[in-house]
Amino acid sequence: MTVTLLVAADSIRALLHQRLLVALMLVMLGLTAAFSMAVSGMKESVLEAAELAAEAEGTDLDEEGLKQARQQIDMAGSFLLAAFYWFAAFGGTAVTVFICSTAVATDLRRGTIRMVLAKPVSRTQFLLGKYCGAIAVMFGYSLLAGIALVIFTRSNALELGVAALYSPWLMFCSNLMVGSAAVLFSLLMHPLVAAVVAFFASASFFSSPNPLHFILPSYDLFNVSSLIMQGRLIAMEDIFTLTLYALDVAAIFLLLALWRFRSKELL
Amino acid sequence: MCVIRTENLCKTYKGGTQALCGLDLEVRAGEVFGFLGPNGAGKSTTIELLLNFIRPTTGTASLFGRPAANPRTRQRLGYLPESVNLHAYYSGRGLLEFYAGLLGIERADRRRRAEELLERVGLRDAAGRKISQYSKGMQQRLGLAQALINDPELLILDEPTSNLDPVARRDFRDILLELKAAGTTVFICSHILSEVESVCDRVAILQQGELKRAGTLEELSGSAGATVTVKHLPAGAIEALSATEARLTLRGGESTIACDSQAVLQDVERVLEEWGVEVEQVETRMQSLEEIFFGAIDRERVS
Repeated sequence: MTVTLLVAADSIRALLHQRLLVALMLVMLGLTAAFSMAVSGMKESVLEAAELAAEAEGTDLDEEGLKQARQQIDMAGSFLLAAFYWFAAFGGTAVTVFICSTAVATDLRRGTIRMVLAKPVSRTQFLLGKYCGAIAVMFGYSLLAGIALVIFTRSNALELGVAALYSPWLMFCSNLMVGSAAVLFSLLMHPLVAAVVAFFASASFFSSPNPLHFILPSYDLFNVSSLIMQGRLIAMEDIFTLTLYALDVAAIFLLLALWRFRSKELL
Repeated sequence: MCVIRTENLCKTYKGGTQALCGLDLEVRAGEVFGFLGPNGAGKSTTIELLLNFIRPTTGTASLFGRPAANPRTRQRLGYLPESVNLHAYYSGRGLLEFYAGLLGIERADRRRRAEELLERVGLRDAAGRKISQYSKGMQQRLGLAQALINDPELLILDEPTSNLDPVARRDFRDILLELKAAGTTVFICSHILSEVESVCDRVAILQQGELKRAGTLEELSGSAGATVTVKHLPAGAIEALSATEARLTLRGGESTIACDSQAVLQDVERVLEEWGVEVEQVETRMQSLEEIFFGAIDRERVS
């Protein structure tokens, strides 16, 4: 266990030294700021439009008019919230696919894997450590997305909604599956190809039917932005079931990856 | 006790390249074992099999009496590869502490052990610097430090001095001699025959995956020739000796006859016997490791 944790800690350290990853996280923060500004602008323009309409009718903006304007703002807010989460989930999946498909491949390419496996470290411990490190970074990303969501809604006086409570967690669960698939694919093909396949296998970002879902699990249940748009809420039992489902899928992919990795020759 | 044992070890890579063919090897505890051979002989393949980086096609490899695939065998060994690939984002000290952790060394001892080894390999002043700023030679020295972090019973070195300057090379040899004195088993692959000759107890010579010779230098070295000293060499004998391949030097009343091989020596002895010349001294010269090496390998196959 200690060895796995040490490999995981090393993996986190290696990932945090990758500029692309840090850049993606900064993009995430930038998006939060951009959406906040967009919502502020949208609020002002909706209120302005309502005032102009009332003025045209030669009356002041009454309670009813304010309520309607408020509803319009909320609707647009939901749309922006969903869009915000779409971007966050898209970025999250991109980051996951990137770090998981290169987790073992980078060590193989640089030869550092030989230095580690020449120590009393089994291949199982190595692979699990690498995966855990990548997932810890993904957890950090989901946490960041959650914090960004709270800042975004609070700063714009939007309703946080129940979806906001579980959406970062569902994003994380989805990335558990995508990440384990990326690890497996990276052991079967070139990491770049593996990243592309794993990314399109996740494919909840694309509305067109995905043929890969005939052989790979669908991630649609974890698509938070569509849940927000549809105004659907998920019960806690369902969250629990989805978490188990994600763990199950991730475990299957990891077992397959382990089976492949244990017989892989380090040439 | 055998620290390393291979039995009929074979490795054929995908594509049919046979890198190793029926290798039987035993390395005993406490000895420094030189593993020699030209490029492509199968030396690195043997190390990769011992460390379980690759799987044998047939045969077995064991370390400390356990199958080489068992990770626990690596608890007691240190490994320095030919090209040292270290995690560039660590400092020298940080990397040694990380490896010490993987070896199960207590947290409190990791820093102390790292500092000791950095001092020993001459990197104390660069301990806090990122490895990405290290030169190749510094990385090689750090590589040696990481191989010694667990005070190993077996040290596997693959071309350990290839990136070192002469001073660092000498320091390295001193460390190796210290380890030898301390009873550490060392398995060393090297192209630098003089280096191996100065420290190894036994050597094995490999060519194209086949073991050509193995043993102590005394066991392997044949006579490389001799110098015969005689007094009062008659003119007829001088004439007869000049017909052989021996080199004759006349110095006053004493003559020295240099023979480059055992066959020449036999010719000289026959001539001296025929002329009834009394031999003062015969000084035989043993083969150097280089001569043993070139005698063992088939140079046509190498080229």
